[in-house]
Amino acid sequence: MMNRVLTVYVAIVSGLMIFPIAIVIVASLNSAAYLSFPPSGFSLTWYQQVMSDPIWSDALWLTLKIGVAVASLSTVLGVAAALGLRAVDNTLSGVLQTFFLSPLMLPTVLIGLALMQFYQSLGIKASVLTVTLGQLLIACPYVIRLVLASFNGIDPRLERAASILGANPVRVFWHVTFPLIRHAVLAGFLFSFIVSLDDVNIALFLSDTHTTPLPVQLFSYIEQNADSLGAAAASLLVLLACLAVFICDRIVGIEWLFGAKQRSS
Amino acid sequence: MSTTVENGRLSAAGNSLLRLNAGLLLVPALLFYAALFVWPLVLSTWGSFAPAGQLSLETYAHFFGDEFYRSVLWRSMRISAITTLMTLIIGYPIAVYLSQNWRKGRSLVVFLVIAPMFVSAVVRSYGWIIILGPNGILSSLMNSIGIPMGHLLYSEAGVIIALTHVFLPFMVIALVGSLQQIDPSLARAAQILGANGVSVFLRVILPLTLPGISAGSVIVFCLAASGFVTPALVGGAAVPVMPYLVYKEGLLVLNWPFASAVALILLVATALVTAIYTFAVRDGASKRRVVR
Repeated sequence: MMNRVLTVYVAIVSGLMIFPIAIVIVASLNSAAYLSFPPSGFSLTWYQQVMSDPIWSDALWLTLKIGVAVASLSTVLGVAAALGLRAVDNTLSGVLQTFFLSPLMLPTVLIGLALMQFYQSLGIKASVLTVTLGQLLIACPYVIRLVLASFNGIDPRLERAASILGANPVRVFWHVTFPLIRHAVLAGFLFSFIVSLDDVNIALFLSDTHTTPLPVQLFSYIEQNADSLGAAAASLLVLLACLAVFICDRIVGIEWLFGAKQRSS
Repeated sequence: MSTTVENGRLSAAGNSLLRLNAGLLLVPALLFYAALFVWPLVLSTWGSFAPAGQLSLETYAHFFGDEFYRSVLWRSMRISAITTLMTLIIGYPIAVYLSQNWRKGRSLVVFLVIAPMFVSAVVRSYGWIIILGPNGILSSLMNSIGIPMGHLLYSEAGVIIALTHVFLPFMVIALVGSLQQIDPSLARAAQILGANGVSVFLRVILPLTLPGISAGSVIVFCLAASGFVTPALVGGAAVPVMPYLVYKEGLLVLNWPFASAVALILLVATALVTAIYTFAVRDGASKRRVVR
């Protein structure tokens, strides 16, 4: 009885979680400019309009560019930092970990505002690079955390064996360490991409009229008018996020979020 | 024999060299953080305390001296606290369900509850605008049943509903983490000793998940307090919160010292509330142990 109540409850909440997102997709497929119930007809015109309008298509390309740049840089920086943390002693490692994760503790608007002032004081203009470096601060901590967690599952004797057998540190990393942590690295890469895709708070402060990523463009648009065109642009963001999550789930399993053991391949 | 000792020494020397080299891998990240995180924050903080080049507290006096700004801070804290409580109440049963491994359809629930976390807050807020708006689904539905109802868009209640939706996954993840660590034989032992379902939950499960509750609450409270997109879209200018004020003063009014001050006040207020809360939870947990 109790279990049945719980199951029904979970089903209702699960439905409610998906509902607001589903509604946006329904609105984007509606032929009328404004959503009314029931929807007046099915059409893909709004997607056509979004893709053919340079304001939107430029924003989409910029978002993809920044996303890939953030993911790549944060993976390289984060993996290097995690390897470094493993090499220093425990006390120092703990202090540095807290330091590296601290951007996630601060309000993101504070980071965005501080970076905007910093760039302006140096006379640096908004570009793909300025937004990328800003988002890197909130993406890198995830990579560090994921890779550090994956080190726990490695037997250190494997690496020692390789170096006793004459492998230099680079070879040890490439042939022994990396294959053991590659799931975490990949998850970190995709997670960083998603972080970049979701970020409005930092990008808003660091972009100008020529460099506006899609989420910021969408935010400004929806503030003024909530119509089907905005819904189509929003649905594109959902599509990108779904793609990243799907790949992530195929590779490591979504369970890693719970800190559970990763699916072994 | 001596060669092996030498070899041992050699490898030890090699090891420490290796460690030193590996330690150097921290340098790029440290440099990056110093240049683009620590330094800008120091500059921004300095700017809020010295708007005209010399030390003064006028930006802070300006904030706390004004009824409107104080009310914005209070609203931010209130909305975050209610959101945290809502995610806890709604999320706990979900976490209990997910932490029981044997259920069918578990991965579907994981997907439905957790996957929205990866969808941009802009998109989800837009969904809530469509639902809560003047001609939205909710008021149409209510009116068709015959319950006349105004719309919740641009209201505090609307913002709380949308924030609860956005941050529920974080709470569920924190709770599942702590529920999974509980040894199932503890609940069984309590049942054998004659406890009914309710008292097993209240006296065994709930106390053991306090760390998870505390962690989840801190995460959700911080995220809700610094969330900007959802309050701005669902609440707009009618429900100004601290991050909205930072955005307005920083990007529209261009009063940077004041914007920095607002952001720092938000940071300190959030840190204070979460510190007091964590302390209270820990204190309560240890007191109960003494009573037992």
